[in-house]
Amino acid sequence: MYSFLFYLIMEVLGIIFLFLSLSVIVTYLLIMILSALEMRDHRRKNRFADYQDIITSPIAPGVSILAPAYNEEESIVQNVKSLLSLHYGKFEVILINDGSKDDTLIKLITSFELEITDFAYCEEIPAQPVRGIYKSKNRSFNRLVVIDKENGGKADALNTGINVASNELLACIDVDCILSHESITKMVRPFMEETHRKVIAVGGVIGIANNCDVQDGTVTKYRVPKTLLGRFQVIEYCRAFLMGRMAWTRVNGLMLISGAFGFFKRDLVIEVGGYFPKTVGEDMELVVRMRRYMEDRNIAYKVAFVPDPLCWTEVPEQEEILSKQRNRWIRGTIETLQLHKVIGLNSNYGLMGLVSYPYWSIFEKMAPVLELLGLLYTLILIIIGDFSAFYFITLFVVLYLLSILVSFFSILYEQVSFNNYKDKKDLKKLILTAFLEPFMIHPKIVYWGLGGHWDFIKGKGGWGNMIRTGFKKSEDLKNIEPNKLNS
Amino acid sequence: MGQEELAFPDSISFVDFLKNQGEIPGLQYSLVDSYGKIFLDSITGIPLKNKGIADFTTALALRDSLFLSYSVYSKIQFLLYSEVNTFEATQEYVSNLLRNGDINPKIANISNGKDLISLASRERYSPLPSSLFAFFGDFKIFIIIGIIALFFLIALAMIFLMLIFKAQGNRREKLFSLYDEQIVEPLSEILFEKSLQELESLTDGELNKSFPAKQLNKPIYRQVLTERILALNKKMKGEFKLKLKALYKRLNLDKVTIEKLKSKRWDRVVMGLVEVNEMDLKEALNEVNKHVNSPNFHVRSQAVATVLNLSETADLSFLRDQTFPLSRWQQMNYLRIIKYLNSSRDLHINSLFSSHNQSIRLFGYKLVRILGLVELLAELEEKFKVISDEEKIEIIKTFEYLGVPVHAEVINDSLKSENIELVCIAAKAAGEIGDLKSANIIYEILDNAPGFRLKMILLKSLRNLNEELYNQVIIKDSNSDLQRINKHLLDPLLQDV
Repeated sequence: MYSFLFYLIMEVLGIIFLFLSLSVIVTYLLIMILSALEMRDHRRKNRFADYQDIITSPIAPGVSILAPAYNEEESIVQNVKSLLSLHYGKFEVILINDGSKDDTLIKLITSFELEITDFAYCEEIPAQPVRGIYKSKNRSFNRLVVIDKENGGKADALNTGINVASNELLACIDVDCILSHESITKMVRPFMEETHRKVIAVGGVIGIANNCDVQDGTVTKYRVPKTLLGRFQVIEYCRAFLMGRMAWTRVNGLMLISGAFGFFKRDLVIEVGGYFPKTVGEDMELVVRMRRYMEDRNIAYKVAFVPDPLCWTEVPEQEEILSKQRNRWIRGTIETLQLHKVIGLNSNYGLMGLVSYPYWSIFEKMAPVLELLGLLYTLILIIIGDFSAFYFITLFVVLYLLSILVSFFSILYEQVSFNNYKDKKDLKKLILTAFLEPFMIHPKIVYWGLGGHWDFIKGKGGWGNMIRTGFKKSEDLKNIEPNKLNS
Repeated sequence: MGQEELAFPDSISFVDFLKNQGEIPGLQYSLVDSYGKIFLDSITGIPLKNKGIADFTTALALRDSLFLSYSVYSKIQFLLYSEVNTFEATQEYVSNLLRNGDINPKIANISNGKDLISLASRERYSPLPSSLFAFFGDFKIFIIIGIIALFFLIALAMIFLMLIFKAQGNRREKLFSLYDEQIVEPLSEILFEKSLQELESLTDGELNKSFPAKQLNKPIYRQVLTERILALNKKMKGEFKLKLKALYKRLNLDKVTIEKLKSKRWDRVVMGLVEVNEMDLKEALNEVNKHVNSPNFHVRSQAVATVLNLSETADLSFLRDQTFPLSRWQQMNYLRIIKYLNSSRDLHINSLFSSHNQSIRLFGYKLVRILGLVELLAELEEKFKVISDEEKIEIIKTFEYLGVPVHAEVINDSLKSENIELVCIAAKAAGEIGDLKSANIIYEILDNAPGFRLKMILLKSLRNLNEELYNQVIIKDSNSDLQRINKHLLDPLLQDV
């Protein structure tokens, strides 16, 4: 009896893995096609757009840039100056010092001639207490508002910023990101363009600045990072941003806007209660909640995406930092999907419920677990002697080729769309990385993802516990290089 | 049951099989006499009672020896799991065992003296075509092969397409820079060394020396030339602009532009519209007018902008009749043109107020505000009572922006609205254009403990309208919100926040 059950389970698992492999392939093919169509339309539209008008037009919406900072004393002044020099008419920069333990606030006060004000702070979204709100005596910095508050994590800091913001649109960014001068004008466009639907949020591409030349807030010369981990992330970003998000935008199914660079309608963010501070995936969670709000009320809406390179950041090239980042990403995904499980396969939520949510559940959240199960399944087959080398090799080759072809496509896609990496040596390095990735990087990514699942099960950073450890990068660096940070 | 299912085509082959096979699980034999009585151990000398005979050859030998020794006739009986069964049932049972692979048939020794054909006739029959479909019979491998084929075909096709695009892009880039180099010199020469009259009097032959006819037939060359002329036209003024427009027509680029307006691809149509607009091709206006109500957002936007820009007679009535909602992007583009044209001709901006399309009416109110059309304010006040709250908000913003205090009644009525957004806008405007009555209404609203944001707006306006009343509120109420707002309003650093 038990033997029969065992063989039945193995048979069923075999069929499930077979169909999973099929669905992975079909999904990637669809993503390739949809993203190519969306990129074609975007490039056509961009040929005729004149962004100069937005800068001064009274019809363009105002933008509040929210930049949370935690222990950023080394670069904060330069970063704020860069933000203040963006080309746009109606904008304010709200810098939220989230209880930094270093001299971030002092540096800001002295560099921008700040004084504490009697700002009547209204807590529309609950957040940690505000110690003071600063403005500059110098009119040159009148766009700058600095909030000093108790530490509460990134989402909490952003909620404080939302409470203070006075403009129609919110630009939530990481303070250490490099923003192109035209970043606001280009990101604002989708909000202004739509006629039949309300654009609730717009996401942007995060470019990789490692090893690149930066001048006046823009990457002027692209080079691939020096390490394999860095180069892998270039390919991964091409796949995720240029292909994945463009494809989801095509069908209005985008569920994630990067926390490092995203624009939102302020009134709607307040209506849904702002960022949820008890999850590590606050960026995805907010977008899903905003979408749910619109779906529940049957209001036509859109989450847009701008693929132009407008924002750059340095990605981690050390395994320790990258592993923590991936662990956090997977936990954020699990938390968000758990919080909003009501939408899964629910036709009331349209495409989000029937396609986006299942996709995220299977191909993002469960991917590391399924890969582990696949490995265990193969091992069991070998042990019981029911292992077909032909099936195994065929599937292995198919999936390896799939991985390489998708990576090649994403590199080509970048080349056709933007052609940033002009040096042929860089291209060769990227192609070599695509060959090596499935063996040298992917197993690690799966392992780190499994760690995220394990940590979630253990309750680390779930919404049961308040996260008070500051920001991602700082947190990671602190764990790895405590002496460097203290010095 | 077909031959495929029954392993033995006839009884002879089954008996032969039993002889060859020896012991078969679950199958035993016994010997019975003509009355069906089982032979006892004492007669046969073999223990038959319980187990039966395991081997068919042994049973046969025993039967023969009984006949030879005792002249007794006996029959072999088939026992399936100790139960007596018929020959046919036994044959079926053994067939099943064979089919399921539970027993492996023993192959008869090839050196038994029989020829190959007779040996072959002992092999189980199986139809030849079935082996052809065995491959497809295994659905897993079929799916895998299907996936591989599908994936490879599509993925390779897409990568191949991308490579073509990339190669085309590189080729275009090279040609662009090559043609650009060829164009810059003759273009500069014509612009800076020839007058407009000289340019117009040039023969085709002379013109072709600078811009060869062969090259002009090449689409990329034409595109580079067009883009160059358009870019220069944006930057230059006066006679240079006229020369560029004259050259555009002399090179027949205007005909190419008008052709683009008839294209099925929306991006080509938009490009044509941009060129018509930039080069003032008024002869193309009829064609442009066809696109004013295009369902494509980009085509429609550019067509409206072009008509506004080029038509000397057109006012905004054609915009009034548009059915598509007007986006802010379109409003921004039209505003730039209307701002420029408004000083030179009457655009009948007030015609927009009577549009059936709310977004166009709202745009009309915004135009009054941005262009400072004070003479249209009375018309707006007249409409105020019969319009939606959304439109009221836009009109109040206009009244506030233009700062004409005669519209206080409209503001005061709106302050009593149940729509909080309208009350907020009215309260804000009251600070600029309200009267004593507005101050009293604000005072009353403050008594009803409104939300924080509205409270702040109300207090700010009240302070502007009547400082005495404002102080009364602050002194009378020790509510921490009011005190905090008071401090905020008094802080010089927060005057613009």
